[in-house]
Amino acid sequence: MKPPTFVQVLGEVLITIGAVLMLYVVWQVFVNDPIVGSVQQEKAKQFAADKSSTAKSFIEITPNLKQGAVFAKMHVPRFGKDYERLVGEGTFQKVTLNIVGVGHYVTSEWPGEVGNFAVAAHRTSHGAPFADIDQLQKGDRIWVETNDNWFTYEYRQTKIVSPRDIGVIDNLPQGLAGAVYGGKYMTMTSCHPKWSNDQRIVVWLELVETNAKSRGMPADLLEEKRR
Amino acid sequence: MYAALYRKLPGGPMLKSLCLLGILILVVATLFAIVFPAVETLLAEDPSVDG
Repeated sequence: MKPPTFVQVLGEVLITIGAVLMLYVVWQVFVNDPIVGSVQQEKAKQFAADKSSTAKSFIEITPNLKQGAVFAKMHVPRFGKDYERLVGEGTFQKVTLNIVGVGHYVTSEWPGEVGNFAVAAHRTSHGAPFADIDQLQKGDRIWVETNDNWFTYEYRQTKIVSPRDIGVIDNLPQGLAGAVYGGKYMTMTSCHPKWSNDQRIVVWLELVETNAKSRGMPADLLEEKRR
Repeated sequence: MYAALYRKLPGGPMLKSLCLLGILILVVATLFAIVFPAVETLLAEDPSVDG
């Protein structure tokens, strides 16, 4: 039997590398994403809405929170009736986006404040918390839960922008029709389209209600979760 | 490389194919359970926001 030539061996090595790279993509999308997503969901559930004895508390919101510090939780029924994700400080991938799930832009406001509470999350990979961000539509509500309050934000507008359009997370969001100084907005950002880093999808919401945590989960969110 | 591996496997074509399938499953399981999660943590951090 003739030994294989150098070219034959090189060809087989290159084919093997190609196959491994494709397997990595398959792992990332079909294995890792659902696992990481469910881990993020389970972690979020450990921070219970009602302050039971076993529930964890969020970190109190103070200036200069460290990257990754979890200070809130988001409930987005449009992404699934039980969808909950923690919100961590900062948008560094390794610390916040890849681990916590949703990250708060450090230059933006806190939940419920006048101005713009802006967050980012992966559209694909690492649990893909904002995989369905493009599905948000008129009438949708998002609830942000902190230690003391429930903030109810209502959908206003979706826009596709360039990654350079950083004004979308300004206090007065650039591109949001009808935005006024003194408004209380929330901005969600992620990559667009899926599997691409070329553009950003931006969803704006506006605060419509604030409830003290002591009053329990807002009735309309409870209703959404029971559907 | 792969031809040499195939020749080294015991038995006839049926047994060889079964062995190959077993090896393939083992390799994929190792990649999914050990190698890829390890590689993931080594990938460079981009301190910007992307999706």
